[in-house]
Amino acid sequence: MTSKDLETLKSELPVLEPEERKRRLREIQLPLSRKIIKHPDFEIAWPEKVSVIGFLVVLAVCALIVFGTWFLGQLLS
Amino acid sequence: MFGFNIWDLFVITLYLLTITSIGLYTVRKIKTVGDFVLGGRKFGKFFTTVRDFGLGTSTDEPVIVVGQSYAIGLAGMWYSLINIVSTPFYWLIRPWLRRMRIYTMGDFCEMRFGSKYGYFYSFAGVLKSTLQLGIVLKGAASVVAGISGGILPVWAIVLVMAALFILYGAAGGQYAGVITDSFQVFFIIMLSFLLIPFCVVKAGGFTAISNSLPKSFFQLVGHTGVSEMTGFFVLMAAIVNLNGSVGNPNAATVIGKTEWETRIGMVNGMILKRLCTVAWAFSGVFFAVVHPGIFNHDQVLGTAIASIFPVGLVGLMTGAMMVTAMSCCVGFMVIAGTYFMENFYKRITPDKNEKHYLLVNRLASVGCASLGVFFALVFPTLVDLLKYAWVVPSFVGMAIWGSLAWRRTNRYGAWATVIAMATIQAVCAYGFKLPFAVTAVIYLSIGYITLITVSMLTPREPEERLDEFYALLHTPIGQEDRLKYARVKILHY
Repeated sequence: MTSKDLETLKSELPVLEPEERKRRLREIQLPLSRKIIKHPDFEIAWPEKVSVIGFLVVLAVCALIVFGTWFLGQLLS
Repeated sequence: MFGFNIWDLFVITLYLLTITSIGLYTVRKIKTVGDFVLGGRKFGKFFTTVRDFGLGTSTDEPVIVVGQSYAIGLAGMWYSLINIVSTPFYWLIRPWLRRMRIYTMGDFCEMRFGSKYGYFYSFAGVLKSTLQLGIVLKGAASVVAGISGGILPVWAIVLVMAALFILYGAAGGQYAGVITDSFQVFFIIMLSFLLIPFCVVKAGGFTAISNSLPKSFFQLVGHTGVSEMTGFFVLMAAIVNLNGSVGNPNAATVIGKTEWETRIGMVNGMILKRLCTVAWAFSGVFFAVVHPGIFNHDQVLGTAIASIFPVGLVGLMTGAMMVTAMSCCVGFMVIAGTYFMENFYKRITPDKNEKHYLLVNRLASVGCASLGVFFALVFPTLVDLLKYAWVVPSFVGMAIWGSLAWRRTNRYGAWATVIAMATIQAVCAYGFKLPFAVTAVIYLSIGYITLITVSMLTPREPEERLDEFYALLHTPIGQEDRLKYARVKILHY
């Protein structure tokens, strides 16, 4: 985002009627179809591919660090 | 002189002055509160990595890990490595927190649970950040005192470091922390691993180490009755930390340009830290062969550096550790000052200009840093301080996790959870003197039950407030026009 975009975003917009604002707020909400638990009270979205892959990669690296340490410990004991 | 060789003293002085000057130089970049608090959120992957590594890797942790590994073996690494369980979750959480477009978690709590809970969290945020600052300072000072052979008192080292970091931290804020970290991150990594070869050579090789220590020293967890660090302790401490990972006051300190930089920086920084932690643990274990019989475990690392490294390298290591701590302290002082300015001062005086708020933020940061120095001088040992730092965020973290996923989570549930968990934790830990892990099982279970039950039985948060909150949470950075379309208030882009 450029500083010009930022200035545009920061600029004041006309106030909306309460009903219109409510409608627009609903419009930009996460659709039920994108939720893991399809219930209006739950807000967990299906993660994007990059989130799932990244999570699994980091998990594997962390497991490798612990396993590697255990392995070195075994070699020394 | 002061327990150091003259050349080491020269290297330390040079290192401290260089970093302080770099920190002071960054004052030119600070024009707004946003620059001071988060460096204007202009940073890419490298700077976010070094900052998250620097803010997460302070001198107290090598002190604790080396000291505890020296005493109980490799299991001592869990005093820092416990957060490895939370590490993959950072990949998911960081973009969410960036999307909230806030400076502090006090803003988050106010948005979700109303102003009273926001004030409460902000007060706790100031206290926790200053406490953390105290831990970091105490850790670094203990190492330097150890290196000087006890000639330099801890309080004097604390005061010297405080004078320097307060000076450049008040000038350059978080920006100064990022830039100084980027200069010395390589030293921290290199020096984290450097003790190992020196210790192995001094100990007479791996076979000598293996023969000199009991087998339990090479186990990743200890056994009940022998060491506190049992598998059960590790598991419970990991759960407590995962709960607290979003409750930490610095959780909203997100300096990346976009979500991608934010998550890459955090995860890279934390993985680097975990690798360094393993190196500290092996250093502690190996040093137990080289120099047995140190009873104050906070001083093991200092003694190791002084007795193993050659002249020059002692100074470099000491300087790097002091500066690491100072850079981390800058982070905490700015975070604490921002809580004061953003969540208290701005509420009382909302119509001042940017320059005024910047000045107040600087003064508040200096005030909070002074409180942290006080904590560093009065608390007894580092491990005592560290356990406070683990437990407190989990009291508020549970409601924050709940609020991210479940609309029914409300202010009553959040308040009830904090009160119930804090009371149960205090009764179990100090009244019945139950062990840490047992206490954690009890207060975490009661916390979850309280959050769900109270939230179900009390009125919901206003739907409009919830709609605004989740609109922010689900709108990626760069798509602010959608928020603008629905007139969602964006606090800090």
